[in-house]
This record gives sequence, structure tokens and C-alpha cells, in this order.
Amino acid sequence: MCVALMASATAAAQTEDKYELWGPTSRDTQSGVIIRAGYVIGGTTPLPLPAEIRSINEFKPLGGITLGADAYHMFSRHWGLQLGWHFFYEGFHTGADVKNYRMGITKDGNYLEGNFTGTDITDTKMFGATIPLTATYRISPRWNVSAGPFVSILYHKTFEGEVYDGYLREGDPTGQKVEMTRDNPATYDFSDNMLNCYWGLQLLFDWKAMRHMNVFGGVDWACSGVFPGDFETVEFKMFPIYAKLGLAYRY
Amino acid sequence: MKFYKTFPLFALALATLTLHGCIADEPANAECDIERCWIHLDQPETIFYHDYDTLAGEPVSVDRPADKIVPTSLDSIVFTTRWNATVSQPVPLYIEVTPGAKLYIIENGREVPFTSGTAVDLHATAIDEHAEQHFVVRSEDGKWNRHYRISIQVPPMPSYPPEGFELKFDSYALNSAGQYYVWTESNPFLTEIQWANGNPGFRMSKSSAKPEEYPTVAVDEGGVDGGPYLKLTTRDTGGFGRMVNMRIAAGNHFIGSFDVGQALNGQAGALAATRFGQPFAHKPIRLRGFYRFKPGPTKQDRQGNPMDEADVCDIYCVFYRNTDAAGNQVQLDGANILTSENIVGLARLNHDEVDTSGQTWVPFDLPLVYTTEVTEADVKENHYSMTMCFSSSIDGAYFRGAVDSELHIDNVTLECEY
Repeated sequence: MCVALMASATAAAQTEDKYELWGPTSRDTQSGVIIRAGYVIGGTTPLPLPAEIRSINEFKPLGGITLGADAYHMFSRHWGLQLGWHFFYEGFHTGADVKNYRMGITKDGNYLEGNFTGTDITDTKMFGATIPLTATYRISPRWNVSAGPFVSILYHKTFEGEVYDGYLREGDPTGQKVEMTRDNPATYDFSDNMLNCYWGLQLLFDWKAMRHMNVFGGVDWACSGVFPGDFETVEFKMFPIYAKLGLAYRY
Repeated sequence: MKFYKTFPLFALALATLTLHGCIADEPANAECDIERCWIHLDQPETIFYHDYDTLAGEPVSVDRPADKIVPTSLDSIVFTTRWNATVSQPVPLYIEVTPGAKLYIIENGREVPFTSGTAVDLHATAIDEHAEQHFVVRSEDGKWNRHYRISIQVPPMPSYPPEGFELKFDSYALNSAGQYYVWTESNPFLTEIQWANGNPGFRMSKSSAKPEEYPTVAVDEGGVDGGPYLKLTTRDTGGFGRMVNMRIAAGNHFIGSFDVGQALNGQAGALAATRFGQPFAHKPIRLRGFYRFKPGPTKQDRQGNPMDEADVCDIYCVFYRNTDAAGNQVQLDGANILTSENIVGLARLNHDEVDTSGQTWVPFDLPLVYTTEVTEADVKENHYSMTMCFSSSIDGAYFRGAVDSELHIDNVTLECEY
């Protein structure tokens, strides 16, 4: 009995030591800064994928880096707050076959809308900064998980592509069929229609590989679309959802 | 162990990627077209000029002349017989619709499922005396439907007016949606002239254009004898036009049909969109009329670069054999209207002698030059098609021309031998 108690106390003390060992590097303030660099991969996608998207034939990440810093403060052994500023450059190229995909294009006050069946190629790139404010929970001495909202500001953005190998039914599925072959794709560029910011939720895991070095991974899951609500060209809300994986230095 | 602990991170990244693998079940078809339609007769040659006249629509392409499909723009399917034919017995009618769609015939106001191949009453005895059957096609997803009318019609007896076919462009109206002008010929006892132009294609690139801003426009006053005339203007197609590399639309007006479904389909599609000619039981010998032409300031190439030459208009009339050696339908289009081996007679404005002042009405008189002799019997059997075409830019079919080139046309007469 006594031995058991002692063993338990020893274990608690060891755990205590580990929290101390792997804890914030500044013991007085319980605060610090984490410098992060990582790889980003993901896409801007409607969720869930609508039935009109029949297959994704090509997917290629474009860009995909994040560089930033988080300031954190631990209020207790387990709980803390983290505020960050992360620059990112991310994007992707995708080719999808769509069926009866509702689309409309506005240009110089002219409007063409209808239902497209065929191939749709999209390239999108975004350069901007994400500002997350997250609550941090220490699961174990070496594992942190943080979650919370973020806002992303875009400095530069493109969203362009082309449609071909198919046809548009103008207006609705009973309208005039307009053929579009691969030799003569219709190109589009909705870069200027994109919003300059969006918000979402960030989930981030930190694993303390060394006393000053973290391995981190997580996801930035946007909750607002990249196009305004009244932008009817792309019928579905498009959400940027990007996973990241990288190394961080803790001060 | 360490890798195991970091595994959730990789899993998370992979989960985001595999979102793209979540493909939902294929939605039911939303389209509801009559794609093919034909009638069966044991001896079609007694009722029709050509066997292929029992197939509705247009050949899919030049390479597949025997495969005719119904253009999606049509909601009235008409089989045109010989002028002296009568159809009194029910005719087996074959209809192919969009896969999954359901076809109904309307009988006494009720929709009755229709089985392709059923004999229906399509009697036709004389001009404007014929039965018309109504059909509804309902899409597989049940959300859409289209109504069609199908009939056999007897055309008027071909008769040649001694003064020639006078075309004054004074019978026009806006299309049903009020977007642009369409022309008809008003005399029901003469061969109906089917006027077409590129306005339906222009509408897709410039939905905001008013009827007067289209390439092909009717002007109420100021013609040769004071009345209406035809105004053709080469227009800028705007942002959409640039998207598909079709920066200009020449004003054109021709006999035939315009397949708007091909209009945006690249250079080949644009040439295929202008389907020239209609069967014509008269032998044309000259095309006369009046024009007024003023070129736009700068001719540009397809990419929009300025060209070192002036724009000029085009006027021509072509008479061609409308059947190939295998008996298939031949319809010339923008790619071969001036070069096809089927052409037997051609008249064309001499471009070096075009009056470019744009001030006064200038007469033109273009005799058809025949390279192959035709027999009256063949002509009367509708073995030839005739077209005439007016364009504000001679290279308009290749998207080369000067914006604002303007061609006015009035009081055209087609003189025939018989």
C-alpha cells in the first residue's frame, strides 16, 4: 500500500518534471514566441462536393509555404492562448469533369449563364496572411493542441481556368446547346471577384521534438467562401481548406 | 513511436486531399431533347425529293452527312415534301430523346406515353393543310420538359415571277425575346426564302446589346425607294468575344441557317455555324441590287492586331449540287461555300471596284458564272441549293475585319432562267 502510494507520488513528480522540462521556455512569464515554417497543401473546394462534379482528373498543389510567428501565454499548466501572424502562399491546379454544372459569367455588363457539361480546369493561387487566435491545451508534456478562429487577408489572388470538351445549355437544361471543344476552350478569370479576406477555424498540433524545436501540423478550415454571396458565376460556396506541416522554433 | 505520434498530422493532411475523392452519385439527366426524328415511308421518293428529307434536322458534321440530328434550338419539326405530294395515311414516326427522358404525345389535351415507331396522323394535302402532332419530353430528373410540334408540310408549287425574285428586306420583326431582328419573306405562294445571320451568336457574347447594336439590323427608312433597308455592321464582341478569341462579328445576312450551337466552337465551329443555301427549283442567272459601303478605320486580325490593309465588303450568290455521290445531303458552310466542288454557278462582287464612299446607293449586277451545266429536270427535282450572302467584312468568317465597317443592302433581285 505504502509502496504503491510512493510509486504513484514518484510518477506524479516525474510527470510534473516533464511538464517543467517541456514547458514554456520562460518559466517566469509562462509566455513565449514560436517561429513557424511549413509546407501547405490543400484546395479551395465546395463542401460537400456537389453531385454535379463527376470526377477529379487532375490535382496538383501550386506553391504551398507558410512562414509566421505565434505569441503565446499559458495561464495554467494545461491552458493558454496563442495569437499569430502567418504569411502563406498556396494554391492548386485541378481538372474536373462536371455534369449539368450551373454557371454564369458576367463581363462588361454582359451575362451568359447556363448549365455546363464537360471539363473544367481551375488554377487558383493566394498570397496573404492568416491571423489566428487560438486556445491551447497541453494534452501531455510534449503534445499541444490549439484551436480557434482565424482571419485571412489576401494580398494577391488568382482564380482562373477554362472549360472545354463539352457544352453549355444556355439559360437552363432546355436552352440552346453551345458546343465547346478542347481546341477552343472558353477561358475565365474570376480573380477580381474574390474577396480580400475570409475567416475560419484553425486546428493545430504541436509536438515538442526538442526543447526549442516543434514539429507542427494542422488545418486551416475556412468557414466563409472566397467569393461574395451575390457572385452567381460559381454556384457553390468555395472554401479554402489547407493542411500544413512544418517545423517551429520556440523562444 | 515518434512517427506514430506524428501520424495524426499526416492523416489530417491526407484527409484534406481525399475530400476530392468524395464523388457523389451521378445525378439524373436534366436534358429533355428530341435528338433524332425520322419518318418511315416504303417509297420516300414519291413523296420527297431526297431520301434524306425523311430525317429531321441537320447532318452532325461534314464527315457524317448521313447522321442527322435535330438542333436544340428547334421546337417545331417539319418534313417538307414535293410540292405536288399528298400524305393521307398514318406514318410511322420514330423519335429518339435524351437518355432517360420520357416521351409523350398529347392526345385530347392529355399526355400519353409514345412508343417510337408508332404510326401517327401526319396528313398533308396542300399548302397550310396538314396535321400537327404535339409532344412533350420530360427529363430523367423530372424537373424539366420541352414541347415539340411535328408535321409534314407541302410547299407551294415552284413558280418563277417574271420580274425575278425581289428581296426588299421590308418584312422583319424582333425575335420572340425582343433581342434582335429577324427577316421573313411575305409571299406564301413563292418559295419561302430562309434568311439567316449571326445575330443569335452575337447575343451570346453581348447580352446587353440593343437590337440596333447588333451586326445585322433593319433600318425603317432611307432605302433605295425610301423604305426599309438592311444594315450590316462589323461589331466588337466585347469581353466574351475575347475569351473565345472571336473579337469581331461581321454583319452578315444569307440564305440558309445559323447553327448557334457551333458559333463559339472555335474557328472551325464558327465556319460550320453558317449553313448556306436551301433547295431551289430555279436556275439563277444574275444577282442585282443596291449597296452602300464604308469601311471601318482599322482592319484587325484574329488576335486584334492592326492589319496593313483596308476592309472591304462581300456579296455573292452560289448555286450548288446538294447531294453527294452516295446520296447524302450536302450543305455548304463557311469553310467551303466558295471552294466546294459541288458549286456549279457563282457570282461575286469584284472587291477592287467597291465604292467605299458610303454616301449614295450604288447598283451592283453580278452574273452567275456556270462551271458545270445543269439540266432543268435536275433543278426542278431540287437537286441544287441556292444561297446569297452579304457581309460587311470580307474576312469576317475568320474574325478579321474593321470594327464599324458598314454595308447597306436594298432592293435585291435574283433573276433566274426559269
